[in-house]
Amino acid sequence: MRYLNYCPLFLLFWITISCSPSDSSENPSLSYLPSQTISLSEMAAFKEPAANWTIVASVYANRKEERVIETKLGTGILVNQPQENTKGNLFTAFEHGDLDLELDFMMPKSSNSGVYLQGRYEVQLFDSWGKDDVRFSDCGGIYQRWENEQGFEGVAPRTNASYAPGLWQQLSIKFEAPRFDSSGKKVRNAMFREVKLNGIVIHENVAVSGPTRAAAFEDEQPSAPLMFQGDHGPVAFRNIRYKRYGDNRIALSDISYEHYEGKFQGADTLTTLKPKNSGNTDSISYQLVQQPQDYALVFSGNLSAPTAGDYLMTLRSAGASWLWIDDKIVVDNGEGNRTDKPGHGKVQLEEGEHQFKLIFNKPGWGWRQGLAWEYEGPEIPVTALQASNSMPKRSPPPPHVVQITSQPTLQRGFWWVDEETKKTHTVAVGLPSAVNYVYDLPSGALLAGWGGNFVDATQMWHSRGEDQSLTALGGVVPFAASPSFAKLASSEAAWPDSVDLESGAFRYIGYQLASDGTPIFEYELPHGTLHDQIDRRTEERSLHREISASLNQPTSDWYCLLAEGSEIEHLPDGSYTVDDHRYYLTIDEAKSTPIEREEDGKTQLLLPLIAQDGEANISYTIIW
Amino acid sequence: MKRLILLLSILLPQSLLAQSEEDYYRIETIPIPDSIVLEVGGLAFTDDNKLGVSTRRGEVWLLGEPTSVRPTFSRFAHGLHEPLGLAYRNGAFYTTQRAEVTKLTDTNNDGKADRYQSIYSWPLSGNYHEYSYGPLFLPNGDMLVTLNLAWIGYGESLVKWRGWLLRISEDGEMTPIATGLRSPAGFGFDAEGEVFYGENQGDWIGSGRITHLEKGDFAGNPAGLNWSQEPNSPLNLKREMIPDSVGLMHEFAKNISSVKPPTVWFPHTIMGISTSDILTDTTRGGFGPFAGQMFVGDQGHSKVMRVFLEKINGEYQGACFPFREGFSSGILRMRWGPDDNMYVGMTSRGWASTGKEPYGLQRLVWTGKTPFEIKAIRAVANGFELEFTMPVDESVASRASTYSITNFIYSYHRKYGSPIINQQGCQVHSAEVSVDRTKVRLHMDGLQEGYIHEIKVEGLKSASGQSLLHNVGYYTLNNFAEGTEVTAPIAQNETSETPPCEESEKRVTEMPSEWEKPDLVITVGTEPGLKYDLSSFTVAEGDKVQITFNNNDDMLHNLVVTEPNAADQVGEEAMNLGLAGTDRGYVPIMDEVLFHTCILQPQTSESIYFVAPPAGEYEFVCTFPGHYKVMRGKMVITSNETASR
Repeated sequence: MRYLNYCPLFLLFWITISCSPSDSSENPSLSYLPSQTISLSEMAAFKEPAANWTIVASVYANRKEERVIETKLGTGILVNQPQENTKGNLFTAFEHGDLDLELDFMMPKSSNSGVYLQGRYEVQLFDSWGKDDVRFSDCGGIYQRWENEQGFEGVAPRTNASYAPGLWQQLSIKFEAPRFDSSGKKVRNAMFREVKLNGIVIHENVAVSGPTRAAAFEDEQPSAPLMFQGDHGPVAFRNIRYKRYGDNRIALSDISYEHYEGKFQGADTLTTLKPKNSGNTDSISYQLVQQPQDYALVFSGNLSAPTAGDYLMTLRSAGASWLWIDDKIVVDNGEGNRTDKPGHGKVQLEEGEHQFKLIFNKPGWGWRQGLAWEYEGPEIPVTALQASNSMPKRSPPPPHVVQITSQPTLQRGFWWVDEETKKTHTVAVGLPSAVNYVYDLPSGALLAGWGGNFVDATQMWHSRGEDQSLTALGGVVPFAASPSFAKLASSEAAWPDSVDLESGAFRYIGYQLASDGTPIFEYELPHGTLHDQIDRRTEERSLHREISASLNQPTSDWYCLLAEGSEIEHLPDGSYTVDDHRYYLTIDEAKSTPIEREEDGKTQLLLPLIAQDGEANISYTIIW
Repeated sequence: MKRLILLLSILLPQSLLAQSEEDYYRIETIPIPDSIVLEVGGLAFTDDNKLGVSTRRGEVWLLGEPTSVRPTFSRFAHGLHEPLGLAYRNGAFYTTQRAEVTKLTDTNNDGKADRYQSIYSWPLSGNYHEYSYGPLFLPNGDMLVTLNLAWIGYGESLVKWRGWLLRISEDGEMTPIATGLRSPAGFGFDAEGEVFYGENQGDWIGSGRITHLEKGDFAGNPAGLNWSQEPNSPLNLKREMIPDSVGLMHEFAKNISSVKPPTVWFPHTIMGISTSDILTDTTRGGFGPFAGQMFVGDQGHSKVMRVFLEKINGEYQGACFPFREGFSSGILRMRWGPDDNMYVGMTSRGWASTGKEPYGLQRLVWTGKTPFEIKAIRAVANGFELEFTMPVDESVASRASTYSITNFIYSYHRKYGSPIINQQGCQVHSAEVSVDRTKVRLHMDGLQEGYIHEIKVEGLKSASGQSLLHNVGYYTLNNFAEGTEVTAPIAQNETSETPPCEESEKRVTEMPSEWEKPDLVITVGTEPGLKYDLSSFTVAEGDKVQITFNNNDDMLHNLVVTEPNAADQVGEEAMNLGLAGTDRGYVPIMDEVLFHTCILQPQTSESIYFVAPPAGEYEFVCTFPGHYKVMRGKMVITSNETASR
């Protein structure tokens, strides 16, 4: 994915499965083995849970009410509602060493909790919404240690990536347990390889010299249960997935190779040919052959699987490639020609020896090089089987960051709304209050928003800028990518997915900068003009949108699309949440009645543009 | 000391002092504040003599007192998408972003644009190579823009009107005018207000050139013809009418009226490598003796060339000449200042230039001295007439042997670039000097219609003893002058288009049979911006080395291994190969060249084999003219004792 860490919108629209940034394991292309899931249909996954932890069907935390979570009976969500006398921490039944963990959490206003790896090393959960400066004690912080009445260590998140209270947020952690020698002496500290909050990397390679404050244990161990803090405040969790890793790895042995010269249609043609040369090799690398193209390499040998189970094999190759294990095809990457477009295949292996055959066919494409064979297995992380010289290494260019100034900063550039769709007529706007958005000029679609820093323009301003795209420097919350405005034959008519540049029925004519530099986008309608202004109005992380149309004829067939998603919920306080508490939307002074409707499995929230005295106004606020 | 030099210059005839371009045209650098990245995309003077500069990072800067030593800078606009052109009219700036023509107005007079009006917008595929240029205002207030093709391994028009010249009115009416454009970064008017555009070597384009564009013209690259069947297309030519290997463009044009041959070819690497802006001398002598002629910039060679145009049979043709080199970065834009100086805006990001600065703004000033130059070349019956900037020394000028004339042409085909083909000499019979001694009329055999004629003048001096500052011009003879006797045309084949490189001990492309395998395989690719993707590698002396060079760029490159500290010398020598360059793959014959690949088409690859020479720090370099200063790396050879495998 192109640096964007949010869920592709098109998936929300077209696939009915739930989709959040953390469930890549559900990805149908299976680029990773599925994670293990903590079942939240009952409390069996936990060790002697205290009564403050329960399983519920849904949770609601009014974003303005402190430390209150309301629940509905059922299953699927783990919630902590601590009482004065009942506020135990919660331990998993499983123990772990190295661990990849992903989960969603929701916190009410002013609440506090934490996730303790091995019951000892805490990533803090906290309502840090709206804070400019964050410390180790803020959401995503690696909490400090405590000895002799003194705090030490503790690492603040790189940026405040947290969302508003009452919204679901995503946390993902790659953790490495401390290592001990045979005498039990610690030889390496525990390490957070990477921590992401709402898709933003907030820590990389942070070592922790011992248990952090309020840990459940004072010693350190190779393996211990995961702990959720229960004694500080209410919190809810869902989609808790993990992968545990041990030290087992696949071993290759007795590797031989055959080198064929020429262009080959596929792997089959090789069986009838004689290789140009052949021999034994100690490792797998395309560099065995000293020519850029027009050859094939066949590797075969023994593969020793350390444990029985599912293995995911991945080939990345600057040519076609195939992998057989015990004469069965596992990966067919016959269409491959780029190392950044992998081919995958899952195989169930018994423990012990297997035969493999790997074919790499390079008819042309001489300017691309590389052959990689990677795998993931039971309690084995993604590991390379090829020699290190078989994949070219490239260092990233120095970043070109666009800074926000005391006035709104605008920057046009291309924008990836999902992996398939690059919008080309977009402008990113960074407000001085550190709320940013990106806007599609022809359609008036408010595509996405994010807090914190503005954009990285490296893909435009380094060398030729071959992607010409901007990337957000904060956790992007995607809004509706469909046009914001459309003329419909009726309120049931289908919403268009783009604006016809040539029809001129709805025409972008430019933007005016207000005295404070805020852009006001202008459009021409058949009977008037429309102005669209987006700003931050309150202290919250929010975008306030004000749409006003001047119409010289009464119209009733123009509509504004406020939101679109898998579901839109009308909350008790009158506001809406979109996509199961991804963001809030509040409508101000509606002069018409909002329309909630279903179209192709997505829910839409519309407002008709109804003019009074030639003026139509719509204003609403998005909060996250 | 100063007095001594003055004294010497009085005593010595001027011709004995080495002259340089600098004596006649001085380059002045306009200082840019450190905080501003002025990668120039467009230049435009305002009515009150401020200079607007649009940048590739989307800003528009306004320079106060631009003719002074140190102009002031204030930011007028920001946030645009790579605006590669700027114009000023009726109090507003107009610029072309990737996706639209935008009018920028300062409505509250605070020195900053507050209104960004979209005049006309077009679709984009999202490909980086879809640059958009302009606008150029027509006298009636309409604007012209040109749209670059996408690059997907070749130039392609993926969405409507890429590869076209469009006319757009202030209220957003768009009319397609002409197509066949590939990389139309520069366009402008001649002295009569006709539109010419500059084209770069590429697929279908054998060499750089300028072409006169009129409504319904097709200038050579077929990709834009994807849209020739649209209702508002001014031509009906279908893409499938252009075969992959056409032959010669001027022959093809005889049968298809919309095909427009180049007005003036700029022989590749001799007259630049990437023509850019076009600027006609409207200074009426304020800029020297070339009033009414045209100046054409070159991005890759950081220089400005000069063009004389004339009309024969109602069509434009003419000659190009060297004019001034040595600018600090890649020239994209040229504009006249109110002081009649030429303001030159530059950028070399992504496309490196011989001027090494990443960007810059310079001013070219006429010193008031007139250079002795070939001012014009005109086609006349069975010959050419050369006009000089001052009277000539008649004794040399009237000798036929003073002039050597060679003609040649480029292939018109799908491939990237073209070697020089069908090259042959002309026989000059006589040279007649005019009464006022400013013109020489040459009579000759061997003129070829549609061909480029190189006209070289050796040993000529002005009547006052001055040497020619530049002694060569390239005339594109699209049409014979009336009265020219037609000679038998050269067989139009591409037989001379054999690969420019022969196998030799310096270029061994098959692994020597006595090797079992190489000791070491080095794979070198390219990165955008004239770079190899490997800056150095180490081998041991006596090692059997294979270098595989993958040209994954979108232009021609080679890889030449040179003696230590010889890359500059080899690169310069390659530039001096002139017309012979394409035949030799731009590899000069010299001892300093140790090993080399051929010149490689984009997205092709070649391996060479050699035994590593004695220990030392050798260099490898691309000798394609204009590349050697930046595109190079080191081959470190260790002695056998220290080598570790």
